Amino acid sequence: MEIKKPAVAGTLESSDCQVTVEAGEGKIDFSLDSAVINQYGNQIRKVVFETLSNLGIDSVRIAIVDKGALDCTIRARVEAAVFRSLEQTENLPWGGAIRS
Amino acid sequence: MMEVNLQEVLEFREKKAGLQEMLRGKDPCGIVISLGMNIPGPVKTGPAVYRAFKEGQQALTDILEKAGEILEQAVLETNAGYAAVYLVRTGKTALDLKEKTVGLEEAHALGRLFDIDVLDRNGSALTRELVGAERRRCLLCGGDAKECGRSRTHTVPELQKKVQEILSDWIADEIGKLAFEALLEELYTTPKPGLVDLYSCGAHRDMDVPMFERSAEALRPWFVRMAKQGFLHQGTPEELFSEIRKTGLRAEAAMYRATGGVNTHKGMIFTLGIFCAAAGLLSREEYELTQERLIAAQMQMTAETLKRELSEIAEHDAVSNGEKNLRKYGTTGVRGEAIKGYRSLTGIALPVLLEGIREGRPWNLIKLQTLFTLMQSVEDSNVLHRQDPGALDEMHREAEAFLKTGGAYAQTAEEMLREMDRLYIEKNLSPGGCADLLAAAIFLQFLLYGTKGVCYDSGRQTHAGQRTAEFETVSR
Repeated sequence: MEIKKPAVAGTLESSDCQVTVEAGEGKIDFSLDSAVINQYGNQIRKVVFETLSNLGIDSVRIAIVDKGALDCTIRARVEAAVFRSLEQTENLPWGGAIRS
Repeated sequence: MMEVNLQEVLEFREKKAGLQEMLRGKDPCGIVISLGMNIPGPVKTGPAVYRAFKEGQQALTDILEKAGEILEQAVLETNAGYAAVYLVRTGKTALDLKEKTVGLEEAHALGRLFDIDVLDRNGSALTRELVGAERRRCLLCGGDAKECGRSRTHTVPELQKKVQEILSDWIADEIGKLAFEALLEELYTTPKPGLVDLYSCGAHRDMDVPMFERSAEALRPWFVRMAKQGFLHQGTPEELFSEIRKTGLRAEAAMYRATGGVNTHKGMIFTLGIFCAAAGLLSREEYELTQERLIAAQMQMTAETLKRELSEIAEHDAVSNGEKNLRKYGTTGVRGEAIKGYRSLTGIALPVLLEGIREGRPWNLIKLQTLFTLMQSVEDSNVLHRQDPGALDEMHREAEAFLKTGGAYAQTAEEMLREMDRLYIEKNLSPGGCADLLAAAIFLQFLLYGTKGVCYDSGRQTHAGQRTAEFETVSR
């Protein structure tokens, strides 16, 4: 599934991250700015790709500004950004794929 | 204890960011500053955290008002946390303000729990490094806070324990400080008949003002200790009383060391110790600290134990002055006060104190008026011990006569008081029990109704019961 509309979730507070999704070009285009990029860059990338895969998203530009968020926070923020982009606000399948 | 889940925490953060955006949009020349609390774990709120948040708001407001004008303030109080966002118009730069707020985070006893953001024109928070400060340290190990948080180096219970420590240290310090200040306030009330004050040493040949000051100074950390014991206490109220009495004995030893063996404040250690512990206990559990709750807690702590003791004193040797009085005259002294919930404080002293404040009277006269209202009716252990029931009756009558002529607020009061002091010295009379109650009343006034201290009254409007999510914007 593709992301068509831009959307944002999260904040720039400590222990949080801000996730921006925009229309992609047939692939997942990932960028990361993190306060703990050296230690956790790869881990964050892994969580983001897993989350997108669970949601069935395969085309998106996703940018993360991370302020030391935990995996569960990153996952929730990515999901929220995707749902907002799809304008799906009810019956959110947290942790599962969106079927349309 | 209200646990919240990740979704609620994440929503709270977005709401807070939303408030920052909203205020930023209102004035392009203004600076937006926000205060949040660093509370790890699933419980983000509670009475102690709320008090700390209010203290942070107060401290931050002071800084911002010095720097400029607060145009608007938005407060977020939800189960997922507390936050306050300010829009300030100032001649200072955002960087200047960041420097000040980092100072608050570094210097305040609660600073580690404050999370203060100063936003630049683009809405992003200035970093601590920009003002030459280091990145936030971990609560526990001094490592980088973000790295420790990310790697879950420490367990939630460890972190919560540390937060409790910071909160209890601060609250206990505040309560102990009020007890210390109340002792000095009593001492500096002048002129008091027969008592040590700035005018004379009264009917005491072995005490003076510097000695009382040394004694109060020596007792301060022990009042703090008893408040902290109250805050951290896990057992029954009676067990708390038994705990703090051990502390009280150590306080007594400290007092005797400071005074070279003179009993300056023994009765005060008892009364203020109980109130400090009760205040600590309630600070942890209740948003609202009222006189009724404090007295109820004090009675739960002490009544049964003290009743038992009074009946036993009849059988063993009387040690203290109060115990000798009980044997001789059947008066129950400060134990009796505690058992009955300090009615001389709630029924006599506090109303006079509060009325004087309401009427805008001079503070020294308010305290004198309160002292005489106590002298008019209290069975003062000190007078009984040094003299006899006849002297006590005489004191009651004299105090009554003084109050009838207008008391401390009368034009001639000062003259009469000095004359009375001379007479009391002659008769070797000293209403020390009443003086103790005056100090205790001042302590309660500071704690329950005062503007200084642990801001126990500020939660009154919003914290009536279990909180639900709410949102308010306060325009100023």
